[in-house]
Amino acid sequence: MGSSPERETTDDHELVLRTKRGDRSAFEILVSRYQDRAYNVAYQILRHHEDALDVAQEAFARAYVSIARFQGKAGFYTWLYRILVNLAIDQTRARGRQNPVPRDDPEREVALREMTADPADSLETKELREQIVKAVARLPADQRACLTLREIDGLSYQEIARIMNCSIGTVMSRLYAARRKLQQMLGHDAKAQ
Amino acid sequence: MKALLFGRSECSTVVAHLGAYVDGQLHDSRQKQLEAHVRDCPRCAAELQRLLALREQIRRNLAVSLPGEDAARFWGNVERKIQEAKAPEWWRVDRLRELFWFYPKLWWASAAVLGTTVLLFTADLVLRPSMPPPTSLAPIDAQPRTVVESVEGGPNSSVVLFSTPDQQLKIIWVLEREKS
Amino acid sequence: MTTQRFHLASGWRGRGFVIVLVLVLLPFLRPIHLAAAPTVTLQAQIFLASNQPGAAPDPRLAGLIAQLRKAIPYSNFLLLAAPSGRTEIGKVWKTELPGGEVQRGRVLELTPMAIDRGAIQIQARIDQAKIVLGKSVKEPLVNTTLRLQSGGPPVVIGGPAYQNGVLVIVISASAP
Repeated sequence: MGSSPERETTDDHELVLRTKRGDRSAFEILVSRYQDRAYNVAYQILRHHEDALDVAQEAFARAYVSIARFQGKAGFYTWLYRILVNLAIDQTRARGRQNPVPRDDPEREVALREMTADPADSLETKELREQIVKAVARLPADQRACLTLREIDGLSYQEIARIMNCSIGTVMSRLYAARRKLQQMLGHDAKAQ
Repeated sequence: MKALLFGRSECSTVVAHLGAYVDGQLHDSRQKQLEAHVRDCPRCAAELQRLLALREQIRRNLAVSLPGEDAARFWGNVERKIQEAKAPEWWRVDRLRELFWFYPKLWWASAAVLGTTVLLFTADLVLRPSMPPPTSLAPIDAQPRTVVESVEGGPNSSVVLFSTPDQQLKIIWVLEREKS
Repeated sequence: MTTQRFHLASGWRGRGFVIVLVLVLLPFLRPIHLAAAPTVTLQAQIFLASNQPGAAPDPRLAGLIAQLRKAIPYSNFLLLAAPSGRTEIGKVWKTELPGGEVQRGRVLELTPMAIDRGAIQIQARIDQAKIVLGKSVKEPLVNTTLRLQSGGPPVVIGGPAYQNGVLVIVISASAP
């Protein structure tokens, strides 16, 4: 997931046009193409499997219903992510979870992470993983969103700015703040060393 | 010296830009200046290493995957949400109520429509001949034709398609290959 | 004045309006409900066609058998079974067919796919189990997509060997 995502290809553009003409199967292809990434972004923000699933599905549904308004100037996934991130951040605010600790079932959290982890990882690596997860969970939702879009989806600052409807400068400062906090929490900062 | 373009007093500026640098978001000239500073500044070089290590850890440890069963049901749930979102606009009770208040004759029109529909509905039930029960055998007579849209055999069979001479019955004949 | 009348609508009159609205729409809901889950009645008359002399066929089948004799070169058609059932669009209806290497290994599956102005599109397949290297393996004998008129002429699938003749299956469909 660290590699850069598919940029909007002619394929995406054609699928969007077909969707606008009423071809739901074209939208199904778009969904299958982006569902995993959308879930990942939602999960990093919400830190809860069912909520992330619900928000990701809701984002696609809203994208479909308002597809006529999609102009195609930005890529489809940029537009989708905008809906998704807004929904996810609204959800965290609505439930008063600006800085949540993970409230998912701990076993589920481990299971979800184990799916992408190397089974041969040592205990030390697993412990480090849990530390990172807990540290990221303590970041504010908007910093978490920026970090996810940058580190996991590999989006550019400009794309992140469009998705989060803020300036590139704001993206830079959120990422800087997020990384600083993580370094402090993980003991990676210069003072610790 | 090139490092003075940032200068030791500007280490904090360099550190603030290290994130953008590792993200490949700096312009070429700025990137070169930063690299030159880092080459000559052990403190900023160490900071860069820490940042790269953190990024690596985040990328390796944060990603989750959509579980298989949820992935399989994903599209179905999206479709359901689309249906829920697209409630027909005519079902807006307040708008319709307003309409009936403004045009009282609509009550009479609705009653007439209701009465006619009920009449037609029940007349249809009374007058329509009942369908033959499933086990009865309908005689073959001149009726709209059957169409075989596609047909194929299996790995050990082939098929032939033909009709009765009067074209009333379509027949698909399976020819099983002889067992060796 | 009109606005005032609208705002004077009290609770019970508002509810009454909804009740009338529901009553007006109720007759239209029945066909909508049916369209949401249409069902199809399917029947498969399974004959053994052979040249062995046998008992006289059921007189109700005389017309059908006469038709079959014109195209299928067998003298005797014995009705073995006539299973029928109802199923929804998209759902499979199955019935066992006699014969085949493996007991109860021959199956007819009918799946109505769509109904359009009295024509029912049906996918029909016959699978047969056989023993391969000691294991029972299912393989298709025939797979076909048909369009039958509801209550109209059936389609015939024949040929699989059984006893001293072959099976002839007459498939019909109707959708109320």
